[in-house]
Amino acid sequence: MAATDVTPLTLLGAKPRLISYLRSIWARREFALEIPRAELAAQHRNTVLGGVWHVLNPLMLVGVYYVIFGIFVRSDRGIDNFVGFLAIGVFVFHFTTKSAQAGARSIIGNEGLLRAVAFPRAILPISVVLSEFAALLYAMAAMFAIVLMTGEEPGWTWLLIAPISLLQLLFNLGLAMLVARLADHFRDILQVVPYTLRIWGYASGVFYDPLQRASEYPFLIGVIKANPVFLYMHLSRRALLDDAPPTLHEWGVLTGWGIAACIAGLVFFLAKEHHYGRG
Amino acid sequence: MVDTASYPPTSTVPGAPRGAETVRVAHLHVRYSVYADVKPTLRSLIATAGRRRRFSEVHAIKGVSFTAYSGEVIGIIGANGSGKSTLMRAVAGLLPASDGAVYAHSTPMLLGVGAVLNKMLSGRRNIVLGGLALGLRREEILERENDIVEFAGIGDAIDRPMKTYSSGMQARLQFAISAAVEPEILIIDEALSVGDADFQNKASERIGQLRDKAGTVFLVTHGMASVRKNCNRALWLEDGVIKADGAPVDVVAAYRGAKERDQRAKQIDKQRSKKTKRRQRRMRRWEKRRAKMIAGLSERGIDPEVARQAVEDLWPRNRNPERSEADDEHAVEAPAAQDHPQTSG
Repeated sequence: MAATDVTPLTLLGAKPRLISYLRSIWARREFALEIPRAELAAQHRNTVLGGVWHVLNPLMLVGVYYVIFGIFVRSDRGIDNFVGFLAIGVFVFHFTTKSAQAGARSIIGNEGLLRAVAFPRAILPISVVLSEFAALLYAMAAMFAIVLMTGEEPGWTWLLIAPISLLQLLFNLGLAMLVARLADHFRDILQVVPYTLRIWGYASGVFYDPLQRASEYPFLIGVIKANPVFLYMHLSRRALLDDAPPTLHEWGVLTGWGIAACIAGLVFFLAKEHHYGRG
Repeated sequence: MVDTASYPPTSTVPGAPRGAETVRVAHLHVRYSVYADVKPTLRSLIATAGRRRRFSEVHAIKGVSFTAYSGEVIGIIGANGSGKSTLMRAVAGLLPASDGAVYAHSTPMLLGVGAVLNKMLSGRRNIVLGGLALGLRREEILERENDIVEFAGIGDAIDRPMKTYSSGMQARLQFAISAAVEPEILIIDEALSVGDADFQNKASERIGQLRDKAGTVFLVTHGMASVRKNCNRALWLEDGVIKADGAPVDVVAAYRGAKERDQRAKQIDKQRSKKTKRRQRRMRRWEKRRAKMIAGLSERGIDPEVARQAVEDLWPRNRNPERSEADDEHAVEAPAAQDHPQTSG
């Protein structure tokens, strides 16, 4: 054993601890940001409208929902600004849906990369969520425009959209890491994810106010108010349409969900760190 | 100590003196379960009701141990499927060891950055993406960009989308990016064979430079000339086991010798099996004929037992078929006899 005194050799493939794993992700942050940037740049070359689709897609969804629920089903009863209500719901929910869907594909869609280059695997789900976050920023411009056009006055509570969506970002990161590992283990998850999300979104009130519907069942109100996806939409709507900030309790729930989801997702994902891309 | 091991920056060549240990592979086993390619579906889990499925394993690496030192360029040779790539993936930390362990001075880098490059984007843009994937910082990449472009030597194509590149051009760019990282431990898995002679020379030169900077290079290749030219040590892997480890000339000679022996043995086997097959076919044909004759005789009212005895006497089972000349006597009773006149010859 010659000259091991320089620096001892270290064991490869040992399961990293959470803190050092976070540190290694941080060390590769430029890479994590470059993946979605390159992806966006590449996508722009494929379509005529390029990045505009990030805004057009949810906008068209707003249109579809408006026709169905504003005109045919009339689920807009008791909602003053239904277009604004719908736009905020769709855009905010879209962020979580897309994050989970892209997260599910982030590991199994990159087998070649995983087999060739060593990096903290969590970079992949994280980078797709960051990419969706960038898309959300574009979409928010459209969201603000719609809300303004439907006659709302801007107020200081509008700024609260920033912390609310950052907390949603944390939640989505955790969700994406969770689905990424699940999808790597059971490919079937890919088929189930879109429907699960849709049910979740509909239950959370993308196009109606669940609190109003549940007013006769007080036990349901507690459940609804604990649902993070409902809170992101509900609190964004209150901040934009009613100029009312979230209560301290609501901030607590939001923060709790964000941090808990993020840590749980990371720990869950980390357990299989060295097995991604094997099969 | 263990937790800091996973992703140390690969960007710098530490000042390890020549001859220091860089990689130690200890009793490494890598097993794949054959079903690893087919992840369990919900259906199969339900079908087996949570019971553990039996799966057959492929034991790709069976107890490999060796130590690599700085300044070594190690050629890995062996037949297809001998476990070369699996071993290198395990050394690069991309495949978990089923048993045993891999220790390294810094994270070994597999020349495989091609997987991260985006075909829609220009070569220049991909230099940044690839460099970041390999652990460089953005400034470091921008500093080295000109060198990389020059080393790749693909001219104006560097600003064209990568999907317009030939496989040789892609290999050049990929090698240029990886080499720019100056990893302490570099693994090149058959990546050089696509390039032209000019590129091969450049690559050889660069491998020499990495070696001189006290790095360790693993070179997986089927080109024996390339092993003798670039390497100062060779490992011959066969069926997941190291068959030889030593100077390239010796190992290559041993490998070649074994391959020739193998081929000769195969040829002899083939000839042998041809002979036995022919014999078996003849025996089967005779068996059929006997049965037919017995049937023919018993149809004419002869007791089957007697007929069998007669046929056995005329054409004994264990004797040489050459003795069966008495065909014509029974030709009338056994029409089938007509289609075996050649057997006597």
